[in-house]
Amino acid sequence: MNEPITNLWSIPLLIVIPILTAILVNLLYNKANAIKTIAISSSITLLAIALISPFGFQWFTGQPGVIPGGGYTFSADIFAWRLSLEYYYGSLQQILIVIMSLLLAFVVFISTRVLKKNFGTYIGLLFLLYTSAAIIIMVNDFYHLWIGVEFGSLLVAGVVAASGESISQKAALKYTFFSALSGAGMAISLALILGLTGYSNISDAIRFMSNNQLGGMSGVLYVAFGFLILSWIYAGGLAPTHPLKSDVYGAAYPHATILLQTQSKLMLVAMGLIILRLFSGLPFAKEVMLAISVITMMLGVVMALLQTDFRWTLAYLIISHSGLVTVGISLGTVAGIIGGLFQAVNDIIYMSILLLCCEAVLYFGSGTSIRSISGIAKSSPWLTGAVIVGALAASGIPPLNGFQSELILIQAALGQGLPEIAVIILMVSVTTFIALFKSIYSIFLRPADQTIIVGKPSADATTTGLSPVPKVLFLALAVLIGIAIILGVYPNLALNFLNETAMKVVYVPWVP
Amino acid sequence: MGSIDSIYDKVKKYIHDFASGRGASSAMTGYMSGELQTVVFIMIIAAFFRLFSIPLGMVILIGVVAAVLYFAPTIKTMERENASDLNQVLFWVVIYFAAIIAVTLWGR
Amino acid sequence: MEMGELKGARGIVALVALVIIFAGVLFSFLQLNGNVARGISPEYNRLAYLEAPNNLASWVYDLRGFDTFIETGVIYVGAVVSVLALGRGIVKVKGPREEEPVPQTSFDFKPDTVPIILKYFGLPAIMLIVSYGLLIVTGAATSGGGGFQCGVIISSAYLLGMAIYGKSNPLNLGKKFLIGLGSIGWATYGLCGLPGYLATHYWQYNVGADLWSSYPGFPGAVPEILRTVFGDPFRLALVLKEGTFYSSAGIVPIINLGEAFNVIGALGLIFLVFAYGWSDRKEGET
Repeated sequence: MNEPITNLWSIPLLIVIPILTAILVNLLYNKANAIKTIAISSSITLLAIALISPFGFQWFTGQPGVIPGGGYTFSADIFAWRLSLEYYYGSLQQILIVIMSLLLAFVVFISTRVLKKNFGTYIGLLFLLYTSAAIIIMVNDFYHLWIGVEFGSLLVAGVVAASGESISQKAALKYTFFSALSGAGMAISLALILGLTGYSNISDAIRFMSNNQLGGMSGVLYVAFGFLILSWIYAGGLAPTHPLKSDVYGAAYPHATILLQTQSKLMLVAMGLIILRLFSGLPFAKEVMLAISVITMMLGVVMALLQTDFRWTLAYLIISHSGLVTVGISLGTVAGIIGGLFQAVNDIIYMSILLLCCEAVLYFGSGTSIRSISGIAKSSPWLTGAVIVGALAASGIPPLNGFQSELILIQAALGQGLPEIAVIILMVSVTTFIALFKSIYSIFLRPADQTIIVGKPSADATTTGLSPVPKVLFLALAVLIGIAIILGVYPNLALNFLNETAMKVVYVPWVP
Repeated sequence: MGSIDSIYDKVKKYIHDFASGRGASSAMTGYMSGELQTVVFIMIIAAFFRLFSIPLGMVILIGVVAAVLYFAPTIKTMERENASDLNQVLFWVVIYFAAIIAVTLWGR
Repeated sequence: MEMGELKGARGIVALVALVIIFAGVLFSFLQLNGNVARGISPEYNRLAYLEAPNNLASWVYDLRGFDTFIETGVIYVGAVVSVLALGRGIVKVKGPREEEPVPQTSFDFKPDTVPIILKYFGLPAIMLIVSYGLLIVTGAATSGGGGFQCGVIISSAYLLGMAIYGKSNPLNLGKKFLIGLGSIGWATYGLCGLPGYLATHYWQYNVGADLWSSYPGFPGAVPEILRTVFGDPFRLALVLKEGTFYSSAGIVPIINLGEAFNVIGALGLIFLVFAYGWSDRKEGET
């Protein structure tokens, strides 16, 4: 099923290139042209590597696996306990990292165009954010997972604080405060599993647990499960920590939120699958995950209805749709997991479309509140078209991509005998539509009245005081809308990547 | 909130709680649909208890409907409880975590 | 929610919840007692001495070296983000007028009020501490110690200098220098993985120690030149009655140097900027 190769060339590059880029652009600090060249070429390189890479493992530092009967091996086909840190690059990793690389390239391009000087550190943080998500989706090791989550949460705070407003500084501070709690919780969980099995490699720990009957140890497993769930909740912004995460999404620049939400979705998927692989045999484990997901969906979408700022509406919708991703994973069946993973892919895409439109609204210079700006449709019809397509995709309307994954999720829920879940998923998509159109109507479609000043972003920013919407933003919108339509018409293009992962998680959980 | 409030007082309070300080009509729509959504969501979640036993589910559903109507408008409470206040979030995390531990450890 | 609200019903609920959590965690720890599995760790013990007399250095910087690389990144990012919160690298979108960054005030260090006797003893103390830090990092592979400890020690010397002499202290490290040092440190650590990667496609394979390339089934081969360049400078001889045994820690000492640079840069920058604030102006300008 897996390629046995343990020294896959692409995995270290996907981690080390963004790190070196980040160090370099942070050092360059205010040399805009050099930063632009380095950052854009590096992000395109990453996309290329992710696209052409074959599948396989990377055993960092080249330590072998220990064969139980004696001797060592360097092949992943032979049953052996791993000495080294193991990463795996498979079909799930490929599709997610390719999408993330594409978004990184667009975000880096846009931010080098629209930001004032001194953006070296900021671009560096964006690259490291990418790294942290790549680490978490590829890693097959508890200890490294913990480091990845710590690294990632620190970076989230950094990216948010970089916009320098008091609200974003507060959001960053609150988020880091909680990372202490969830990081420590995850460390306890790690310590318990390590104590029980002696293996920090996830595959090895699962093998050990299935070979040795640990029924008497269920108390330890449950507490480990609880703490792991706690950090899953925190990293992905599920209820009850969603107010902190929505603050983060709303307070960062929309283009940064694209990467922030991508990172969260990847964390949700990666940690959710690990929790499922480890604990799906325990009674009540899936039910706990399901309950958290349902509550997140519900709270997120209801809170989105109450917002009067497009940025904050989107922030709460991202939370709510994270719940959709985890509902699928928590169902624990093949269909459910496929639905959850596909939802994650689609979610990243259509939320990026909406966030890019939100970013463009910001350039009009009157904020993104529905009270302060209106009538954009007249000056930017294309943007209005894009935001409507994004909203339709998010609400699960055919032929766009959101429809396909929500259909799979609803079928999976019905197949499990849980029609309530199906109803809730339907309600979430309808409410998403209402919440989005409340903002879209006010900002884009409502005719501008005299009290509200609307400017048209012109090519010459100095005369109007407004910044032009960069052309690359429209290019990004076009590409993402293209992907949304293609995935909506031919869902199998993505599903082929996800089937194998779902089968492995359900039937051979020790295989990454 | 005495039980001897007249229907008029209840309706007045309901309307007042909605409209307090938020005159914008688009915000009002949000609150109205949010309220309806919340009630339906809570009812659906209550219906989940049918998985354990159907009579229990029925009793809980009726109880929840009564409670929701009594405490209406729920959306105000929802908004308050979803504030990004650290103490608030910490409180809910502790409750969640206790529930997870209690259900998984002693729920069998 | 105010703290006062915790006194009512909410407080009781929270208390009950905490009791349940503590009971659960305690119960699980008691259950774990006596049931700990050793798993893979004896194997690490068997291998570590082949590289360095200080087993810890082998584990932390070679066997699980990539973990430590990302951990080093946590320190680096911690410094970057802390300093960012104080103003370095805050970005603004070109067009819209937005809120100004939150103004930062610096701590009030008053080196003039430090007694003269402290100023006399300060310099030798700083010199001693710095030499101790250098001793620690150079002995990383052979004795207890390493880059992280060295970084912490030297940056504490820097803090001592700032406290006694103010901004122009004997270790007069500027902010650009500190940022550069931290970046070079982390990049050095990262690039130490490159020789092994080029030779074997295993990132950070220790080409100097080269424990595995002669083992059957090992993909790739380590050229003699790499073994010499990275192995020989750090080769150690253990002279026993049974004969003389050689081992080399390979890239571990270089990694430790990188780690030390990174930590000095990161912690020093945090100290400097928290004490004196950040401005994008060049040093010396007012």
